[in-house]
This record gives sequence, structure tokens and C-alpha cells, in this order.
Amino acid sequence: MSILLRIDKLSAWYGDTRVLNEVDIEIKEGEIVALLGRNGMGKTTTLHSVCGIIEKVSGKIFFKNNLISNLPSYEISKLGIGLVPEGRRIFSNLTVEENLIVASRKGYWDLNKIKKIFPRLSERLTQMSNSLSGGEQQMLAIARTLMTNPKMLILDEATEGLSPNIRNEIWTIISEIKKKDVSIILVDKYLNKIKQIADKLYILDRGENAWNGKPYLLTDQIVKKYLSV
Amino acid sequence: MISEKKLNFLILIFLFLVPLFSILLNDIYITTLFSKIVILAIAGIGLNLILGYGGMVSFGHAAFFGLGGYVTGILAFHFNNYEPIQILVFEFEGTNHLLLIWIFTLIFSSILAFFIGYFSLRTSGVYFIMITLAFAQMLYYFSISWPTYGGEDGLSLSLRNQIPFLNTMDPITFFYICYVWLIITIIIVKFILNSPLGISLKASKENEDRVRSVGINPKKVKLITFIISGAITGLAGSLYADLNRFVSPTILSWQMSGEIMILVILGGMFRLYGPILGAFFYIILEQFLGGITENWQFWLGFIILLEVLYAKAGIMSFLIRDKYDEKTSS
Repeated sequence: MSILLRIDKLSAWYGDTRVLNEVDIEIKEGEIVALLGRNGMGKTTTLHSVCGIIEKVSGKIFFKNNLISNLPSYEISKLGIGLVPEGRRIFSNLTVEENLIVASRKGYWDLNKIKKIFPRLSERLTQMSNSLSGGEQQMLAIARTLMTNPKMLILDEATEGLSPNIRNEIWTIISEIKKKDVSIILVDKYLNKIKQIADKLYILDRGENAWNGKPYLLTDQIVKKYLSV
Repeated sequence: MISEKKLNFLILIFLFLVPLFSILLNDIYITTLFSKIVILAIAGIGLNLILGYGGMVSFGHAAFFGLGGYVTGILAFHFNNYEPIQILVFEFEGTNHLLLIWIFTLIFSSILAFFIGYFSLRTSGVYFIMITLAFAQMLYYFSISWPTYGGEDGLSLSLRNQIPFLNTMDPITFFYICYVWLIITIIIVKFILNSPLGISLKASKENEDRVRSVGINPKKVKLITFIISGAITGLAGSLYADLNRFVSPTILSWQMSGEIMILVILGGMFRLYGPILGAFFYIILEQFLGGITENWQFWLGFIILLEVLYAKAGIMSFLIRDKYDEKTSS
């Protein structure tokens, strides 16, 4: 498997405050990688830096061997990186169908495939998206990003604040997406589920790489040191 | 209370029958008045595309309206006076062919909209309002100080411009020309609103960062729709010049921009047919309140105040079943 995304010594700042310090991450094609760490350790900032949302960054980010760290976010998305942001950021003034087609690009994922994988959405295509429940809005956010036919999907807290049923539905969908050769980086709080689904884990602590490895190598000691509250 | 589709259909039928009412009531002025309503509605639909659906508060749409008027006036002026327009080594005799005039109007308003949009869209909010206003004011003062075309006094056309086989001087014929343009405008804007461009525009209004994150450049989307909006408003200006057979700097003034904006807000933003109702009520208020009191604009202000407080979706929201929800397609 070739390397899809390589983050090389990534540092990022909010104003004068440095929030990431020379972070290195590698993701191979078809892999699911999880970013772990307590709140405020730089997980979302890392994801946003990859997507070109953070203005002040240094270091290099390569996607399919292209340097993307200086590109505007819409160009990065066009290259095949799809972000599902934290907090169900749908377009609430559009219908469900409009949310899906607004960003659609040619590829495996089209409206029909989305309808199959998200039956809840297919029943509500003409509804205004702000009338959906929280779980449905999260599904719409994932589906909208899939419609851009990304090579890599970034899921930031995709299951946060959802009921166990909906959460399980979303985990199933993530597994389905993986089968279609889409690489995934995810940030999530449900460690047990992540250990089942992820191929590799990265732990960030105070904006720096603290640990990385296969899920079975994650010991209780590491969890206690970096992840326990 | 009826559905929006039914109301839209009724509006079009009513407008289509206006000349008939005019004949039955033996008052041809009604047709001329409604020609003005239809023209302002076209300008309003143009503005509403970016204002209602794109959230771009342009306070300078008179620039396009006026440019359309002046393109029409200047081409006809040179044609009627047998004085060719000289641009470097080229000479152009001008024209009184409406089809040609409309093409020129669309081209020039699009170019102007590209220019204004390119600079204005680097800003947002109150700065966007101010910069669009500033561009329009520049054109306004330029037109005042351009004696060739009448300066402050404006430019009169002896006859309306022509279309083969039609008598454009006939008020009913001219009304139907405007009506056809209204239908064409509605079709074009409806098509845009349901296309990926229009959907991206509505999405950009909600959140530009989110639009970027799905691979769309919101600035490009906004610029393209700004150009389309400017072209539509320019065309309305061209029809307005022919309706009155007169153009003057007034149609480039900030009051004109304000009028177009008011009729959009009055009729209902986010609704394709809102500006038609807006133009209708605006002109009717102007005519009837204007007949009763000189201070009709005070009462117009009062009505707008009530509307902004109680019915953000405009007059449309009083008449249709589905309430204010920033409906996206019409």
C-alpha cells in the first residue's frame, strides 16, 4: 500500500500561540487512522491544517505526493480530501437533496448509492435539512462529503452527542465506506470502537506526537498516561 | 391563503391580462404603468438573485440599471443624429434595433458587473454595501458631467427603438415585450437557482468556509451570479429607457438602487416572484398615496417598518401558505 497522506513536521499557530509542534503522521491507501488525545491536544487543529483551514502553519503536507500545505481549502477538497467537520455543519438553508448535490463530483458515490447506504436520508430528500434530527444531520454531513468522492475522508467527532443506536449505524456506515477503498482519519471518543475499526492510532499530547502504533499495542498504561481524564 | 405555485401562476395570468383591463377601462395609461412595474420587477429579480439568495447587499444596482439605460440612449442618439460613435479608429453609427441594443446592454452590464463584483467581493457586510454604492455614485457623477449626452438634463429619444414587424410605440406591444422579458428572466433565474451554481450560492450565503471545505470557491460562485444579476438589471434599465424615451442621471442615483432594493424587500426576498409583487405595490403606493399626500414616502417607510418587524418574507408571506423559511427553490 502506498502512502496517501504524509504530514511532515507540522506546526500550527492561533495568533501567537503555537498549538501544534512538529507533528508527523502517515496514512496509507485504504487505511483507517485514528487521532487520539485529551481535549485541546491538537487533534482538530491537525485535521483543519490538512484541509487548509488554519492560516498559520509550517511544515509540509503531501497528498498523493502533491504538496498541499499552501493550497486553499477548496483546492485541497478537489484533490480528494473530504472533511466532515465537528458539530454537524450542514447547509441548513438547503434541502437534503441540495446539500448532497451542491458538492457532488463524478466518481463511485452518487445519489443512488448514497440513498442505499443512508436510507434515512433517502426518505427525506425534499425536506429542509434543518428539520432533520441530530443523527440525521450527522449522516447528511457524512453523505455530503462522500458525494465529493474523496480519496480520504476526515471525520471529526462524527458520533459525538448521538444516541447509541444512531452511533452504531454510523460506525456501520464507516466500515462500509472503508470497503470502497476510501482512507479515513477519525477523531472520536469511543476508544473501544476505534480499536476495533482503526488500522493505526496516533496519540497527540500538547500538540506533539506522543505515541503511535497498531491498536493492539495500545496498553492500559498508555491510555492512562495520555487519554484518561 | 394559497400555495406559492398557484400565486405565481395567478401573478403571471394577471399581468398577461393587464392590457385587456386597460382596454375595457378605456385607460391606456394602466398598460404603461404596468410596463414600468414589469421592468422594475425584472430589475428586482436580478437584484434578488444576489440579495435574497446570495446574501450580497448591493446598494449599487442603479449602476447596471443606469448603464442599460445609457447604452440604449447613446446607441439610439447616434443613430438618430447620424453622428457615428468614434472609438480609436473604429466608427459605429449607433442603432435603433432593439435586439442589437439588448445584446450590447447585456455585454456592457456584464463587463461592468465583472469589474464591480471583482473588487466588491473582496469585502463583505457593510463594506460591500459601501463599495457597491461608491461604484454607482462614480457612474452617477460621471453621467452628470458628460455634456455630450445631456449631462444633468439627460438624453431624450424621439422614438422607441424598433423590432422588425412590431410597433414598439404602441403601449400594449411594448408591455408584451417587457412581459416576455419578465418570463425569460424568471426562467433563467429559476434554472440558475436549481443548478449547482445556484445551490452553491445559497450555501455560500450560509457559510463560505463550509462551502470551501466541499471543494467550491465561493468567491467564484458569487462573482458569476453577481455578473448575471448585473446583466439582468442592465436589461431592465434598457427597457426603462425605451419605455420613457428618456434617460437621465437619476436612474444611476443611489435613490434608484434604494428603490430596487425596497421593492425586493417589500415583495419578499428568497421568493422568485417576490420582486414582482414588490414592484406592483411600490408603484401602486406611489401612484395612489402620491395622489392623496405628498408625503407618500413616509407611509411607504411605515409599511416597510411593519414588514421588517412582522413579515420578513414580504407581501408574499401574507398571501401564501408556507411561512418564512428562506425557501430555497421556487
